Amino acid sequence: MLAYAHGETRAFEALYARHRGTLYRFLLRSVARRDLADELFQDTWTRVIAARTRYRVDAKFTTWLLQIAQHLLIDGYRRQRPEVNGESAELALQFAADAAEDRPDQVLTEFEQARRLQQALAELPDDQRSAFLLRVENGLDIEAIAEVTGVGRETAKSRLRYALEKLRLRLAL
Amino acid sequence: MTSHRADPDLEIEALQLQHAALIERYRALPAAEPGAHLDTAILKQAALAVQRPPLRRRPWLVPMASAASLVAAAGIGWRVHLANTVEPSAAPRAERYQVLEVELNPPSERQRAVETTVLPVPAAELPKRVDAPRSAPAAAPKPAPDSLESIVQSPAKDRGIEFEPHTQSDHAGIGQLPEQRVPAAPLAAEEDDLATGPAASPVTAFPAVTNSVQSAAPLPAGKLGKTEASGVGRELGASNGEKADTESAQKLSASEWIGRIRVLIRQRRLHQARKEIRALQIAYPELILPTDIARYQR
Repeated sequence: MLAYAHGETRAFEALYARHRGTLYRFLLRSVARRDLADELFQDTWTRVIAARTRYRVDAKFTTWLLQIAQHLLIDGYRRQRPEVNGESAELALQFAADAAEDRPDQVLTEFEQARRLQQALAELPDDQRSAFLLRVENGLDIEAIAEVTGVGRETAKSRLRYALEKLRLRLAL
Repeated sequence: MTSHRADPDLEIEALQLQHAALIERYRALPAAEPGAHLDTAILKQAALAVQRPPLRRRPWLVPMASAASLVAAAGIGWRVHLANTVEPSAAPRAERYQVLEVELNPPSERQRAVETTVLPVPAAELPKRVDAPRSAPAAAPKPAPDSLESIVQSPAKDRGIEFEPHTQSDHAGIGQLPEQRVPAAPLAAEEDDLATGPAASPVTAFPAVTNSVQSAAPLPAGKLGKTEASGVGRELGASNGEKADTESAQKLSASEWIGRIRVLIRQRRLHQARKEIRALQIAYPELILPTDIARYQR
């Protein structure tokens, strides 16, 4: 990021390539709508670009990036509760079709499982869903989750535990 | 007694192991990616952001600003120093209160004055006094051409005198020393002034001028209307003091002299102005200096 702040575009491209997928999935699974996720994704990177000179070396880039995304989520888009719509079902079906290779019964099962998981995620409280996604999707530790979500370490841990428990019960695993 | 706290990361690991099936199922979800159009737009935006020419810094700007600040600070310091050296003494300030006494007379004093004064008879019942005013000046001795009354009654411009406007700073000391105010003259004096009629009006038309001029001129009292009631237009008599030792003292009236001092002050010839003030005070010992001049008195 420091290299990019000094004008090296290639440094930004490397950063973008490394984080684009995880950031996008974090946003998509938080809002469960592709159009909103696209918008949030672009907004997040726009802010990163604009704030390149204010980036502090002591902050880990992933944490900083996700912090920006989390603030954008809280600011505007979370007012609309994520909902499981036809779009997410389509995504789930597309994946299941790719993976299952001509086995209709398994395709249907996996599609159903993915859909149920997405539904369960959407039903989680925002803060618990964020804790879950930051841990499982982005691989952050408790300290980083606490920093991104702006809460204490114990709170972050407790949110993650609740999220896992609720999902397990909801999916009967 | 100590509380044993487990390592949170280990705790989280344990939690994840406990929910391994759930995490496995999550990871099996479609790996959504941003569209190519987003990638293009963002990378283009990032490239544009750093390609913009950086703001050109002008290396001379900071030293220039510092020098300008220093010059300004020195100027202000010098002005402050100058102002401190010509700070008016306490005595002229007290005189200022006398000049402004009419305006500042507290309502309670006014009320007391009204109560102790016989109410005037309505104008309709005083035909002689009401009819008289136009002829009253005829009865009074005609003022000499150089006298205060003639100066007051003629516009300042005609006499070639340029007066400075009466500014709010002239009243800056108001309210600080109320005990030094001179009590108002009885209202009866005002009643007498009714007889002089229009003669009073030019005085009020040039209040800043008359306050100084009036006190300097050797006119008899009771000719100048309201200002007399304030105690400003006291009979001073320039002739009874020491004679002016300068030539200008013999040639100039007090008002012209004051005008000349003002011109000197405007020209920042302060030393000469102070000399003139001293000479003026010798020539007119009881003259109340206008505040704009008194502040240069030493």
